[in-house]
Amino acid sequence: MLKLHKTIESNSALLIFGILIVASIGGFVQILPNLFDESLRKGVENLKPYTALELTGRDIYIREGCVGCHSQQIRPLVAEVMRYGKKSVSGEFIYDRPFLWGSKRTGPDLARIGGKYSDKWHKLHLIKPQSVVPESIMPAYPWLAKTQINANSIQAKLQLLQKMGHPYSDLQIQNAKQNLTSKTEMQAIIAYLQVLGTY
Amino acid sequence: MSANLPLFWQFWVAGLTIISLIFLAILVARVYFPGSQHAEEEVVWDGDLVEGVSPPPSWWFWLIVSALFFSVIYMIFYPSLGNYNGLFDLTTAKRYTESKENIDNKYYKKLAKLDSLDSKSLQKNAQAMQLASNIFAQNCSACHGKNALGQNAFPNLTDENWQWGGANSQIIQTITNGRTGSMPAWKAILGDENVTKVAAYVKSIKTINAKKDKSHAEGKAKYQQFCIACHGANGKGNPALGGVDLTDNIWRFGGDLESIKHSIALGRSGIMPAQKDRLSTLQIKLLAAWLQKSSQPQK
Repeated sequence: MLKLHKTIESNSALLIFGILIVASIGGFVQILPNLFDESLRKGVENLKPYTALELTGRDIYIREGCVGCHSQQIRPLVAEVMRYGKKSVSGEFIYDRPFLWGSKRTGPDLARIGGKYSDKWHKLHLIKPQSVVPESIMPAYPWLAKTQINANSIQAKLQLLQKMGHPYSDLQIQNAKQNLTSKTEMQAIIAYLQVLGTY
Repeated sequence: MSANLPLFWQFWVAGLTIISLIFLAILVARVYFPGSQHAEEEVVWDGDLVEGVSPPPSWWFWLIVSALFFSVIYMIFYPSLGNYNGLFDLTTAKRYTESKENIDNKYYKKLAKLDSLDSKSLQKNAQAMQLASNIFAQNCSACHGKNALGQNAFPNLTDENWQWGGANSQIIQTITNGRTGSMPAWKAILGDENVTKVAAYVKSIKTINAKKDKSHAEGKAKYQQFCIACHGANGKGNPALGGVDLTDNIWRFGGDLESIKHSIALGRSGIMPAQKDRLSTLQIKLLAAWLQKSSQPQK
């Protein structure tokens, strides 16, 4: 044993290798098997990939940092299911790259916000949250209604996602840019919010 | 661990876990009980200078031994090896069902008796009305305002006016399946001039002594041509179609001439989202009873 000890300690390459092995055992046990679990990769029934408008809205959601205050994951706890709806499952997120589960809830969870409010409510709420919920501490996002969507990269985005296995048709990609003309960022983010959790 | 690993990965998880535990145990034993190997290894400098052999402190040894012992016990009782759920048989799904049952027994069983009551008796039940008011605050107030008074053209629910009907069954229908109200834009069909005339007629529709000049008559004619399908010949509206009553003093989108003109020219829309997936039938029933109770004629 001591001899082995001495060999490892006096050979830095061997030592590094040994440390790497020991440090990755946890990952081998906890993470690696899930990569081969097909059931985690199968989408839930009727789940559709985001349309060009919804995808743009998602990028705005990321840009504005919504994920900093809003989670998109309903844990299997009674209180959460009662408030937000049925628990989230991995198959709901196969078209999210990356997923926006978030880790903090200053505002409510948004995993199943789609269809809960009308488009009009979302618009009023995003322009000035306190106009509909007086006690809200959410900041206002009035510029979304005034800003036109920048559609320059939408086709490239869809093409990349298509390569990664999202079922977009070539026609959809061809029309993507056209679908975004004269639309505001407000319309995009509302389209995204209204599709969350609806499938 | 995930509860449905394929067999190979079950062995992978269990094997790696057990092997690393055994390896740790052997390592600890060898460090603390090195046997006689040491003497040969000892290097002596300057005649009497040696490193000496002093094993790590003994509390350290006992800490590691108890940690190993704890791990083994833990793995027997809790989910750890592959799909094995442990003697306690713990799964998140089971934990959810158990706490749901707990809440159902403690709380919802007591509510079950409300299920059999009709809306009149619910309205007399203070506990039920308090509950309904809480349900409203949590689920409806974001649009309709804290006390159902309405805001930003989201309708006031405390007046006697019901766009989609104020009967108990109609309110339940509205909450359960939602409503899509849509007033078309008439500008292209009527033209600016006629929009103004119709607006003026609509504004005076309930005034018996309205000035009946030529413009008024033209407005009325256009109204009878285009508007009566939803709003009725007398302007009383039609709840089945969501045509609002134009003869009361309630104007969601403003009752001055300019606002009425805007509504006619460009149209209006209002969407009540369906709540059937978010609220239980009992919750909806409670809400309908509570709303009927709070709905009072305007003074």
